[in-house]
Amino acid sequence: MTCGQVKDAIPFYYYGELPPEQEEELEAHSASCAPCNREVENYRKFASSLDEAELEPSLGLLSECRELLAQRVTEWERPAPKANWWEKYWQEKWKMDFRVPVAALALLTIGWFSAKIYAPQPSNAAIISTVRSVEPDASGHLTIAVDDVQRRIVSGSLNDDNVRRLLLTAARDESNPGVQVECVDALKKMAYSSDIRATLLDAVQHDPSPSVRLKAIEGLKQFTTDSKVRNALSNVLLSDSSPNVRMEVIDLLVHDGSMVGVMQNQVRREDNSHVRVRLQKALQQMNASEGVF
Amino acid sequence: MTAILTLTAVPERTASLETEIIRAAQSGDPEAFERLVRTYDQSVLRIALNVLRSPEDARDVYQEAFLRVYRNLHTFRFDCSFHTWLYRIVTNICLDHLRKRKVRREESSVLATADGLVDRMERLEEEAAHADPERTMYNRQLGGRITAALDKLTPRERVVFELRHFQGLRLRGIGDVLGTSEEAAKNCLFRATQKMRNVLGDLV
Repeated sequence: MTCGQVKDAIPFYYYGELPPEQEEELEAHSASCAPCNREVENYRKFASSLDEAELEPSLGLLSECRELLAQRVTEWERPAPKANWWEKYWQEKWKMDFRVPVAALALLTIGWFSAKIYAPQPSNAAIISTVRSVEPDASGHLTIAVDDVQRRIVSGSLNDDNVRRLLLTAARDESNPGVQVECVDALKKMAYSSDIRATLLDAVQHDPSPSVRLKAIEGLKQFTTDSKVRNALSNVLLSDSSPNVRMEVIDLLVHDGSMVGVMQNQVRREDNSHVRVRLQKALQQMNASEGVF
Repeated sequence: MTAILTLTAVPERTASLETEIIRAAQSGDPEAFERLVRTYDQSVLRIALNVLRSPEDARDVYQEAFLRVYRNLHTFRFDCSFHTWLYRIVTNICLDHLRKRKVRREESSVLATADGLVDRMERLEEEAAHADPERTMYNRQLGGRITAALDKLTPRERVVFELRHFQGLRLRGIGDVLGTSEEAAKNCLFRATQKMRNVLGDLV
């Protein structure tokens, strides 16, 4: 055994965990090696110092623990009895004919309260209620007309007819522009489909929300060669109230030489300086003058 | 060092008596359960107190351990000795406490009493105080250093050290209690003693 091996083995030697032959080797080594012998003694001192610091639970703590445990055990429901206890249990004072209806009643009661507590409330879950009218009568009673709308979840791709129909309907529902934008955004991926493109064209020309119109323009970018799209966009450029929308249309039409006349027309009447500058640049890009000769 | 003879060498007669007590407790005999608790509860409390160095935590471990025994005794199938089964429960709870404590390090060691604020460990030492003031002072100093040294150990190292050094369990038995090998317990003990000596080297 080397000094290093002895040093590592000393804790196990102290605890009597070394195999007998290693124990003998260690003892033989430390008998002839003063540093290792000192190391063994040092470990002994270290270990006995730890013994001094061992904590002994006081009798007060022990009796407190016992009392508390006794209380908690009596409070705790006993574990399910084993088979022999089960048989004895059945023979005791509770009779079958009494226990069953009591248990059934208990279950019904629990179910009823659970339903009261956990049932979804109409106001925050599947049913959406909208009050349409309130009519008081002479006695103070109120008659309230309520529209209940039930919410459901539909999922699927744009190829799914049901999904597509819902999107097309919602894209025209001007009461909720936020949902309209989401619908147009989803639909624009399939603008090559004629029904979807018709919806986008309708939105870009007639929808009151500039956000919806801008989203529809995005969907029509790829189809400026389509005469219907071109005509719709030129109408938007000439009549749309939103400068942002007009700017977007300019960017789309700048590549179409047939739109020079529309732009020359608009540059004269445009009252927004930014849009006018953009129109002038577009005409330069199209090698066209601002004026009409 | 405290030697727990019931853990290391249970005479055959005692073992069969213990088996009878366990079976009676499994059948729902409250007196048998109480006897079982009283056989082991001082050891359980001592382990918890020395591992966690906090009487409050030791009391919690005692409660939780024996309540688990009470609830699960019917599942004990004598596949191992009862003390191994019980110590497995106790050490698992202690390990949980130590891990949680690592998270909330800021836990105060000060306890509010009728006499004002006192250190928990000082109170504990005073409860078991010797009349000799010098010795009390030395113990207090040493106790503080040992607590600091124990804090350097991982929860597992701490439990292994406690079971080997203070409870006198063999490494093989410790491996059984912790659900690991004797070799792993040995490595744990080695690391623990190295760390302890590094911290306490100049004091002992």
